[in-house]
Amino acid sequence: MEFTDAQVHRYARHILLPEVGGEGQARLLASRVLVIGAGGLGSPLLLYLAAAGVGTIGVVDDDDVDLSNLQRQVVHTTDRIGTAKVESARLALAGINPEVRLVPHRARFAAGNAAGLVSAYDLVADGSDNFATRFLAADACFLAGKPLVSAAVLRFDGQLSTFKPYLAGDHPCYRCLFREPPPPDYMQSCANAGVLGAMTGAMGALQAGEVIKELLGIGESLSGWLLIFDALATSFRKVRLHRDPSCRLCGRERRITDLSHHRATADAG
Amino acid sequence: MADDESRPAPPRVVVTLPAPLVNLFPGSVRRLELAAASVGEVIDALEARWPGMRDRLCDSRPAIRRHLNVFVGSERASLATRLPPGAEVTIMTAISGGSPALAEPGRRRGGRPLDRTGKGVV
Repeated sequence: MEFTDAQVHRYARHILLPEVGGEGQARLLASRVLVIGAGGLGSPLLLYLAAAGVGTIGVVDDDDVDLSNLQRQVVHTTDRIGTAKVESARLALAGINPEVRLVPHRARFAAGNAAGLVSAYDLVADGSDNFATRFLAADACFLAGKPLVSAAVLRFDGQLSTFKPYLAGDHPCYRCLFREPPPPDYMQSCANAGVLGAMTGAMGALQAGEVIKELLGIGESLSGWLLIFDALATSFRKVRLHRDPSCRLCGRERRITDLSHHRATADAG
Repeated sequence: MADDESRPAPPRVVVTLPAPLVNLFPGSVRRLELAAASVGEVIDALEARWPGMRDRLCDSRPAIRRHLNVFVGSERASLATRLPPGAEVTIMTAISGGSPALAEPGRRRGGRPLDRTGKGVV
């Protein structure tokens, strides 16, 4: 593609990188990424993807901006309290890079819309705040053959990985790592545990970096690895993940072949 | 007794526990050093310090519970995994999000209610 003068100026620091260059920048502009959640992780993720020139960014969230969000959800502002988060994010991204198209999906990412949403994008980035959504995103991405870049934070801890289990070889899925969600009293602890706002910024920015790497096909993918960040110890660790042969989603005897079990779970809840 | 005396002392290893687990056991800590020759012996040592922790970590098979992972160094481990001296044993759980993990639709967000001193309302 031929860039405008403004585009060359805007993306100069990317284009200068041999790993990106004009070809890579053009690829970013043609890319479509779905972000699940416009919260603590979604905020820096959305801002950096837009600034990087990812051409189409979908964001799915059914929530409104609340005062308690602003300690960490930096895509939102005090004057937008009460506004739908997807609309608040659209306004913020338009201010940073009007070339980028933000597609707001004001809905909960659920069994009924997950397949349709995922199929419309090249890659999914999960910044959601509950396990039901995380397992649903993992299943929907595997079934659609789409890469999933997943980050999570709690208190001072962060986790980040990329899942591409539809590829042959040792590419595990989220269910290979976590076979089931923690018991309710663990989650109750999460609900009351809090989070350092800057932690979500750090992990969301790392997640944006991995999304861009995947879109460009550069560097070493986090597929098959889990990055663990301990902010109190200022420590990063990378641990190896392997495909679980008995995994219900991507193992030898797959038992999850559609998203109907998520619908049943939601109905039961 | 002679066998016990001839058995080498287990190596010292460093264990990191997940924050939600530590929250459930008053006095427990995120990171500690102990003597253990295997992951199973780590669990034994944790149970001796904080009774009840084994049930939180292991199921009846017995095996590490399915929402947890144990890594020795950078590799996933089982109860039988042997530990070299100085091994880093990380027990981790899935975490779901930075904001209060409220999965239930319609539940008001904002987290634990706090009073004006910043302390929790109980």
